[in-house]
Amino acid sequence: MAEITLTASARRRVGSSVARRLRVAGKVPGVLYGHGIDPVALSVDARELRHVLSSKAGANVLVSLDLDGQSYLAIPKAVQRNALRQEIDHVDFQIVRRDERMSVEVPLVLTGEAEAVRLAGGAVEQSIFAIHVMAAVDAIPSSIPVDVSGLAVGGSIRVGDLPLPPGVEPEGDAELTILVAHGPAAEEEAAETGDAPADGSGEG
Amino acid sequence: MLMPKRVKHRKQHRGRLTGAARGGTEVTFGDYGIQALEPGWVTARQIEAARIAMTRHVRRGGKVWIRVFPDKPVTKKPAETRMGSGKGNPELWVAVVKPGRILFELSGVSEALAHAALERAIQKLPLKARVVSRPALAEAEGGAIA
Repeated sequence: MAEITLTASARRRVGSSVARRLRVAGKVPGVLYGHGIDPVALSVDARELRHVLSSKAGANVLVSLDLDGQSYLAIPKAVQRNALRQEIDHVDFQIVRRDERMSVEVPLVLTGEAEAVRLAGGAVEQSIFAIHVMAAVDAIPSSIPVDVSGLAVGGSIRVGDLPLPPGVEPEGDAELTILVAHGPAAEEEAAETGDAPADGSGEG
Repeated sequence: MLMPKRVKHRKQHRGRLTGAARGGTEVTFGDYGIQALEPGWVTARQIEAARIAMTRHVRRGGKVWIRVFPDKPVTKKPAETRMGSGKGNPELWVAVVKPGRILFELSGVSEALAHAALERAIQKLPLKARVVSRPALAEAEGGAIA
């Protein structure tokens, strides 16, 4: 996986007021750590960072961080977003080596239309949207496709069933259910019609 | 309508609605959701009205999550009562909502139907709100989360 270059500048002063001023100036405060170095407070351009994080590689993009003339290979470990403005508030970069393996969270992408939906008019209920995998730094998948086309009513897909690329291993419980296919929701409709008189009596 | 089964204290102070939501700000269970843009009290009746508006528009399929719970009692004095003689009786239950909070989530329907259903639900709420997508889904759709 090719890395994307991102220019950062170290910042001497830290704290909420300094961070706020940086955000107003179109920058995002962040920190760089890992492999035994002392954590370095830094700032990056907000537009450049947004561009990096929306690349094809997804959130686990490999970044060549150019920090005041020195280059570090890093990965965005944590991204904090403002819930209302959807702007990035803060970013953590972790230094990595090309030859190491690390644990990352990779999103799951559903492909195809489930048999339960196509033929039975049911629905697919997904409970896990991303899984933790152990992978080589330069071979982290941007997403893991989950083919649901053969899924009949009552069928489910577990973490252990996922077709992972070579060298990528799932972490945690392989029996964890990712999604389940349901039949048509007859009980829900009945429950809703049952609710209606209760609402009426409550209003009276 | 939603209400607590039992409470430790029957009456509460009104409190202040300052700041933004600290948790529950991301669509976690479904694909699309309603995010509050201003603070307010949402009553159990409004939550139920919004849920009904949403489920009736979707008709079949789809799953709805209600991410807020009306656990705050609001008291009222009877009409034409003189002031004094203590605090009124609990009349309704409200959920305290701050900006950024996800109120409802929806999954199992197309994007267009989800947007239409959630917009209908927003009409039943006493505060400004918008339709948002799950972050990973929003990135896959082209970057915009809102």
